Amino acid sequence: MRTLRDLPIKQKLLAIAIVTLAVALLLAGTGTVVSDRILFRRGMLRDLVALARIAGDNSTAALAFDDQRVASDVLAALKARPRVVAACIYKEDGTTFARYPQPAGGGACPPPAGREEVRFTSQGVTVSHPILLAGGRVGTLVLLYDPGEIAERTKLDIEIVLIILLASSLVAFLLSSRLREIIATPISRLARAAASVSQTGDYSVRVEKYSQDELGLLVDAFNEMLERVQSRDIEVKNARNSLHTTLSSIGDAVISTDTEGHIVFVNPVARSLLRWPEQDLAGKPVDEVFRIVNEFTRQSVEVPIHTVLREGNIVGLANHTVLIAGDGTEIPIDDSAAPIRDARGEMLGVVLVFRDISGRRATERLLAEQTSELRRRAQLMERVNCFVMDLEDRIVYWNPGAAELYGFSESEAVGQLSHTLLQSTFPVPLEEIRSQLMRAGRWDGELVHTRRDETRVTVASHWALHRDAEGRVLSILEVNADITERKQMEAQRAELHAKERALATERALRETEAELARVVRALSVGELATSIAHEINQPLAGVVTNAAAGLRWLSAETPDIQEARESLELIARDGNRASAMIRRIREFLKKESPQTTLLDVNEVIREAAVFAGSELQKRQVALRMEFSSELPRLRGDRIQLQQVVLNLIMNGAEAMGSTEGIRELLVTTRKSAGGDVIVAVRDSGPGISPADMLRMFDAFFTTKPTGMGMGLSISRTIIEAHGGRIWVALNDGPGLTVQFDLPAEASSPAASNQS
Amino acid sequence: MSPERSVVFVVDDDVSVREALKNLLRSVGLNVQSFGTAQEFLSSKRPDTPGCLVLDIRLPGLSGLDLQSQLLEAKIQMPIIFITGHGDIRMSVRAMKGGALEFLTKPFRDQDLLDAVQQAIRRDREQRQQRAETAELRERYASLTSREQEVLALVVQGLVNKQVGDELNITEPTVKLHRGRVMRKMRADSLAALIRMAERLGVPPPR
Repeated sequence: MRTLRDLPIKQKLLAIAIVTLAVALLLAGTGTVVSDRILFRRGMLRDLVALARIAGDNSTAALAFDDQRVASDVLAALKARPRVVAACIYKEDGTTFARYPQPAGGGACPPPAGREEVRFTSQGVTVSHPILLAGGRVGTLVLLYDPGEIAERTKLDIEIVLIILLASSLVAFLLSSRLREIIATPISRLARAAASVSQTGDYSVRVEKYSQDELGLLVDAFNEMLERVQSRDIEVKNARNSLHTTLSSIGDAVISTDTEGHIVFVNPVARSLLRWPEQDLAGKPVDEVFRIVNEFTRQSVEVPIHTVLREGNIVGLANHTVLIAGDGTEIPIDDSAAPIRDARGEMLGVVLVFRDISGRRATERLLAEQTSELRRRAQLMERVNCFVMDLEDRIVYWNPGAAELYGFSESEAVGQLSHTLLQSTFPVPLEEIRSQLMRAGRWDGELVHTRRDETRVTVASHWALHRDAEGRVLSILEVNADITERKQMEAQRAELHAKERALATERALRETEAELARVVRALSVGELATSIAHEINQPLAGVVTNAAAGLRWLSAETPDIQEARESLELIARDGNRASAMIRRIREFLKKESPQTTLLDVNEVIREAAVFAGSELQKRQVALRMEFSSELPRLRGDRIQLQQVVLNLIMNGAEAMGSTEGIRELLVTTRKSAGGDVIVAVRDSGPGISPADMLRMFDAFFTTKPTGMGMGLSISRTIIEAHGGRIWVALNDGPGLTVQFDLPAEASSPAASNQS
Repeated sequence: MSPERSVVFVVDDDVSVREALKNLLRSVGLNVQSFGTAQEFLSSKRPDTPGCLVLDIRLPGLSGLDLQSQLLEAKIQMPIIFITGHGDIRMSVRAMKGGALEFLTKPFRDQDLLDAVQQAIRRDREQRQQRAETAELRERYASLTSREQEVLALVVQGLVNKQVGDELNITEPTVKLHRGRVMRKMRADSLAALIRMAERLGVPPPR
């Protein structure tokens, strides 16, 4: 049956038709054969009985007359029935009266039965018929009949039935071969169409309809179904296309995976971020492609897809995640993942969305920088002078610094044209400044402005553009630093320089250089002396200590001569060192030759004051000079006298180091009654005790913590070499005054180099 | 001359003085390590033995006084003998206030320096001894249970066992037990010894 079931429907129909027909015919044939056999047998038996009765009746007379010949003739008449095998007439006593065929013919008669009967035996059908005469039995006729004709008849019947069966089957085969097309063709068409749809996925195929029967309905339903599927397929394709387009064109990177974490889809943004060499990432495990670490700890972070697969929720990524792309670059990202579910809520996969936030980081950083820059500028603003003008140069903001510098208040300045208000002088045409400002966003240069009180002020000016978020220029910021003083100082310096140049033209260049070098040396003579003493003291301490050590080496229980020798070598070395030091100092203090010239003392002092300038500024001491204009010129060494003046100025300034309030140092010159020049340096410091006053000019006397007590001592030597005197007196007020006098036309200070 | 290897550190920027000092100190059998600057001294690896520092006041960079205060801050207790080119009262006062042992002006008498050095080493040795003892005591004290520490604190205040028990809500026999353990752990052979130890440890803390 299985094989039948798997047959094509055509053959199945054929088989069904033929089998059905064969079974029906077979049943009908069998019935016919059986009934024919029964009827035939019944007829045959009746014939036999009739035959036996006739033969018996005909034999009655023969029996009665005991005429065997008649009886044999009667029996011989049976010859007409070839199927009669044998016939016998038995007498009542059981003897055979007559027999057919003749005994020579073989075929024994069966014995007679007591009554009329038909019996089937192995030889054939036996019929016994009693022969009656006048109510009494006179004999018995027995017939033996061959029943082979029944079998013959049945055989014939079966043959006929089989022939009919074959013929009908043939006819049925031929007929159904044609008829089956009616059913099978539409079905196989349907089947082919369905197969082609499923193979090609082309839902536009339709099946032709042949009939209005169930098959027609089936075709209709199939076509309708195809139509629905086709429209749904188009819908799905459209949806997929639009989804694909959406995913491809959105700015975020998208990766979707199946429930195993294998990649199903990667959009172009994701692909460009992942920077994976292979274009087709589908099917790869997502961890292989999407590697993320914590920005700070560098530890790898679980891909959120796994979290979603595990927990089934939408997951946002922790901050500070860095994606390590296929080529090793690191990209800070934000990301999230969500489950994809079907209509029943079953998870189909996970979609991961992430984006490159390095741009945002940069923006944040930029913003922070801008903020701190603004803060810094705001702090600057409090100190500097600045104002803001619009594009027509009209002042819109005026800070307190500007008000202080220029003298115009904010209300006076705002609304004015800045360059008119300040009568600005530009180093280059204003148009040029403007074009550079617009081009570079800034301009730096020096301007001269005029204050409210008409004084001029030189400023280092910085212009900057202020733009809005779109980059449009809103206003111009001008920041000005007052450099007038610096300019003046530069001018002064230039003046001094010019003066020095003038001096240089007076003297030989070489001489001037030597002089300058000496002046510089003179500036530090006090400190130098201190360090010199210290320096000499060091080798001396070495000498003394080494000597002591040497003695100890020698006076030990076992004198160590080697160590003692080394001690002596050290002593010699230190002694030489001290001596070299002294030689250096002498050279330093020695002058090659006294430079005696005719001098203007006031000028000498002025020059010295210039050298003291920076020191006085540092100590915040004001130097006031009151000079007599009637001084005689005198002969002396300019440098030595400058050393003295400088020394007195420095001492005075140092003495006022702790003075509160005004620190003023007054230097005066005057002519004495005797025509000498008197120079006085007066300070307002704490003064000095009378006892110390007596020792002030002694060498190595000092009240300063770091002083050496050499300055005044040297000064006295110099002044005395010039034939003058130096003395000190306490002021009426605070402080003291040091004075010296110098004889006019003093003789050459020949002894000055013995200081 | 010294029972334990002691070291004298010399810091002076002047090579004459430095070598002379080294020579002198060596001549009496002392170990000497010398440095030209305070920084060199600070970054050197110094042996953990008794010693002292002979330090010049005037040094390039970190001055002698600066070095002194840095050592104080770092809790490095090393006796210092200052030497200087020219005596200055203010400087010497500052040095002595900072714990200097001696303040010598160059050139100094060799015996003065040697005396000062010996004294300094002796003092350092004593201080080290004391520190070691105190550390030992601390260790012993730390080995006490908190209950034993409480008992110790009360006992050294002069409380008898019963009072201690009342104070701590424990029975007198328990106090006795704790007290016995305290004595044993602190290795005190008498109450007086225990009180002296407590004083050195600063126990009991002021309430």
